[in-house]
Amino acid sequence: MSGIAYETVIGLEVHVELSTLTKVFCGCPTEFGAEENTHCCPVCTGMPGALPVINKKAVEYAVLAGLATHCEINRYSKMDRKNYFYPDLPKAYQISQYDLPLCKSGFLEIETESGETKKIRLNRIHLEEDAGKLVHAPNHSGSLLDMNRCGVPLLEIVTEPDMRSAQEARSFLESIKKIMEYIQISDCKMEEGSMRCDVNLSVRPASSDALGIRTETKNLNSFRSITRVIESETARQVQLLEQGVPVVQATLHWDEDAGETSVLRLKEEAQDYRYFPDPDLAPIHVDDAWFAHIQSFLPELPEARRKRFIEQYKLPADAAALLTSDAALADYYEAAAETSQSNLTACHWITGELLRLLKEKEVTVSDSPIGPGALGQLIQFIDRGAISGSQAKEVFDIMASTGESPESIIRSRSLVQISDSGQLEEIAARVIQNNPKSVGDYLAGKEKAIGFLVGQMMKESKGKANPKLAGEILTRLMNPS
Amino acid sequence: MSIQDQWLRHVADLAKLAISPEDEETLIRDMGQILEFANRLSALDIPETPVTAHGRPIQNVLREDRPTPSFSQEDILANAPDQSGGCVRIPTVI
Repeated sequence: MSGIAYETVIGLEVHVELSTLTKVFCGCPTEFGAEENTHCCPVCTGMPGALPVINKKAVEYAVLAGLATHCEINRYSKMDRKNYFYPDLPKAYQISQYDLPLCKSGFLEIETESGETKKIRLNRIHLEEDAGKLVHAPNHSGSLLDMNRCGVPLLEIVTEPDMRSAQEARSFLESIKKIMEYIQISDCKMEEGSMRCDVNLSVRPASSDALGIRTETKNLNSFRSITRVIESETARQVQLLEQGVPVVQATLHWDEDAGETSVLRLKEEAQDYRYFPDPDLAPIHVDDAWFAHIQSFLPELPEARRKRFIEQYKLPADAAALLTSDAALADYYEAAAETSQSNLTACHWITGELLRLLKEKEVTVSDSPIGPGALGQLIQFIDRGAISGSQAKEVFDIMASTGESPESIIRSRSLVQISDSGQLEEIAARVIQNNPKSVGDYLAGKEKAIGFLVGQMMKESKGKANPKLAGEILTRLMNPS
Repeated sequence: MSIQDQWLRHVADLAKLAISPEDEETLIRDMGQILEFANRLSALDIPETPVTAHGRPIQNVLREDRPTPSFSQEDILANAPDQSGGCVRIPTVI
């Protein structure tokens, strides 16, 4: 080892499948998981003479993505052909955007390991079509092509080389995913391939400003793979430089099982793709009226919402970040807070019991067995002191399994908390009589003994005593003034 | 290998074509002439002309996001030289 400190320089190309109903240039459905080659037509399978027509919604989604990431929108844009041969691309060219992408020069802010805010610049966001899916045939008897994915609209989000660690890349991707979900243009399901990522990576001595020679590792579809690629490529390139061997610019394939990259092809230059404007597609002009129309769909974005949750609901910062990490969860919180009229209790129950329940049932918040209105009602009962905390948990579990309303559960199971002083005094008197030692300890100054006595009252009342009142009554009875 | 040879092989490689040594000389000459012809355009001084994105003055030819029927799997595979399990079978590429 030379003892030189190296720095990793990372740029990402993120591919996000748009959740339009139909493909970008034809009316075939985009739905995932259909039988092979049943969502295809002459346009998306590249039959000669078939004519593509741009899906208006795909353009609007791309512009919306640009607006949500501080991009400039190119009001005049066009589609180009990117020519290369690969069997998953039946036309032998991909329709993409070259010199006039819909969006350019944006940025996103991420939080670094040290808790600082860092700006990651976006070079561009462009609209293009996805390719088909290739799988191995059994016994190496060829490759099998399913063209259902051909022509599904994709956004390619290209960053500048602004990230320096796997952690920063991860934060960036999480942030992109959150924004795409907020503006509802993609479900960003990495496991279904609707969000994929290419990692451009080079290393350089930490003291240097010049960029090293980079490699591009294609088609990563989990945070875990991305982190592993960044670690393994960094190590590989540093080792080469240490040995005085130059890094060769190449496109790499990541083998998840072997945990290493291999060369897919030597890097092609842009000129090798022989880009030219697609003569079958007319240019796109986003005029003022259309632009304003698209802008009207831009919702409050995660960062703004997080800040508002802290200000409006007075939530702790970490809880606000957690609740706004998912638009559906943030909506759920706002609805529950409104019904319950208690911002903090709603926050407490959602970040605690509700998230635990969703995880246990493996469902998303949109499919929660307990709706925000029902949870809000439960919180009202708690805040009124009508039921105890442990009773509330019991009601919550019954709500989750039966879908009953909290009111009917409390009534039908007589769970109402005893807050009647007369009744509690009777129980307290019995407890004091039966536990002379604890009473003695308490009177001798051991304040903790009161906890044991309250516990005994809870036991006597089968959990129905209001613990706060029980404590007060015990104290009063043991300290006759 | 001359620069022209390298350049021809690179283009042939991109186009996935195998070129016989006999054809190389002819192709280098032909392509040289094509390039020379195309280069005449660069000689024109047309600073006022915007970059052409399309051959005709049209824009925003768009469709609504409404599904139309796809072809049947049978029809889609009818052109495939070989098939298996509803997919087009091709020589191994991965």
